[in-house]
Amino acid sequence: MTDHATQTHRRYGVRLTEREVKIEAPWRVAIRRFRRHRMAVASLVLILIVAALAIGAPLIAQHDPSAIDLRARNEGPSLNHWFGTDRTGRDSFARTVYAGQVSLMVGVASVVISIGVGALLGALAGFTDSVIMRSTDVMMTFPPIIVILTVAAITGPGLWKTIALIGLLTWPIPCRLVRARFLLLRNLEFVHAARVIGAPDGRIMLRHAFPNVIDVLIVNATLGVAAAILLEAGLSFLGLGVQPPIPSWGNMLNVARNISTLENDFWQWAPAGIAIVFCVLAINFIGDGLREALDPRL
Amino acid sequence: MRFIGRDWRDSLGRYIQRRILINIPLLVVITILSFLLLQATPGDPLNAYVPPDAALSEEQRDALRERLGLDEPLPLRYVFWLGEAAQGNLGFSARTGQPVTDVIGSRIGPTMLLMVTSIVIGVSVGIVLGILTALTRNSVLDMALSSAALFGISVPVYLAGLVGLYIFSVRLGWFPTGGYSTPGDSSFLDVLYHLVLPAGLIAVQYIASTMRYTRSSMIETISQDYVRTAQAKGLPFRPVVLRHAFRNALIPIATIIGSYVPQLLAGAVFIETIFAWPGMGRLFVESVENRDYPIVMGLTLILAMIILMANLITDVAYGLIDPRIRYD
Repeated sequence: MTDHATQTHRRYGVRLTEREVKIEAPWRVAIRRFRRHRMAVASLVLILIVAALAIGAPLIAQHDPSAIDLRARNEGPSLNHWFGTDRTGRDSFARTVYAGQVSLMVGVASVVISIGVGALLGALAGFTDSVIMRSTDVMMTFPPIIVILTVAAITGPGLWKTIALIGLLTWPIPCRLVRARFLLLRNLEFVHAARVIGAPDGRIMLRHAFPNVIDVLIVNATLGVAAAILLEAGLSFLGLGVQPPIPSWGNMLNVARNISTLENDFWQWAPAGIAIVFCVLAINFIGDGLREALDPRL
Repeated sequence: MRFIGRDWRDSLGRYIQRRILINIPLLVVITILSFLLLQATPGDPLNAYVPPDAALSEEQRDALRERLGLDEPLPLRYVFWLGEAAQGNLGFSARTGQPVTDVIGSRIGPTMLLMVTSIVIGVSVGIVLGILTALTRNSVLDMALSSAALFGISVPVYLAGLVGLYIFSVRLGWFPTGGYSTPGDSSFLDVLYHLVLPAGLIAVQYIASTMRYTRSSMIETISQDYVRTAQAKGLPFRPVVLRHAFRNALIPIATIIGSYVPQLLAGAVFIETIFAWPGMGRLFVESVENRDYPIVMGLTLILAMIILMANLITDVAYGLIDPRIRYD
């Protein structure tokens, strides 16, 4: 083996000792393959810029996003107010970047809940089954937005409620993915081997099976963030998600339900709309890139 | 070959029976969930059953409560509620006092009109574009349309609605900015004039994904041997594409037509709100805003039934189109 490797390298004029022939770490392979996916890399850069704008919002925005200035209502873009002001005189640019904080946080936080619940139940379902899978059937029958609207009608709107609702109502997808992978792993030799030497179920699940579902979960989590951002924006657009004065891209779009704002005050809603589309598009590209980078069959 | 002639029909019958049976427990679970959610709403549950303007003495209310079984334990209350619901009594609107079934009934028509139109637009435009891009693979046209489709899938329906309204109604003035018809004029043409833009905007995502499905499905079938054989026999291009390739490419496309109904309903919620379209989606949002729980729950139940029906029809259609599909 070593002889063959050194021979091959010698043939191409490369001198390598045995120590230098290394096996590339899996995450390195993934990074190398991800970098080949040009759209995904560009999208990652875009998302990092958006995240930096959102996190650095207090440094970038010259105005307080919820400072009401009734003398400067519905102003157009100017040097002072880059994206103009809304109908209560709040600075649209400040609101857009601060809304980025809220939208990205809702996206990430609800995915953490969704993946946590989904992965746990999926792992259990891979070993037991039936009840959990039947409940995912019921939940997947409905478009999430309709279920969330129904429940939001009872719980009322709010930032944390929105996060909890999105997280707790989108777990069936990661659950099904983890279950499918567990069912596959259950019959593989290394799991049988672990069982034969007497490893307890919990250890098999954590140490042997779980590392093999991480790739599925990473891809699903990425796409889940995009889906959660869209759900939050949709709910807030209808006035049932994040409530003003907390800015979110969705509730910034809400003002466009008024036809005169839609017609005359373009800058109040367009930046939020553009932000949503580009973030979602970019996150989906990153998801595709990760899927290809992590798939061992490619 | 097992599925030939009678055998095939028998197995199709069994398949349809199975599909129907699978949906029944799903429907039961959904009614239980709707009932539990209704129980979780604040306020006296009796109010949902009495028109708000009815003046009742405390004795009358107690008598009514007993008659409706509202003081029984939860499982029994569910059975009574289900019995009432099955007879079309979903209670009364907390706001207007009209029976829930009447309020919702008047909204089903406009929503169905909107949905059917957007399905027709989505399927026809999507399939035509899909065939076009499959036949001109890797051309400029294909690349432009394919990236437009990728964009179309990522644009949420509320944003498509706002931008569409802004461009086509506000700026260009081609379509009305909302409503079902011009007051005093409810002719078919006027409704159609109001219908085209909202239906087209709900269909944006639908067009994009139908196009992508059609494209990949067509590319796959075009490279099959029987298509090459047909061409080698000297048949002209068009019949080969339409009769040989397209009919087989239709199989995977047919399955997504029905599977889109839930998403179209979700789209209707937004588009009806934006365009003031008097359908179930707008009623849903208004009722949530007004905390009109009997209406919200009634709508949830009816939307669930529509979705289950659509799933059933999709499954059956799939079984009819593709004889290979059998889950025994």
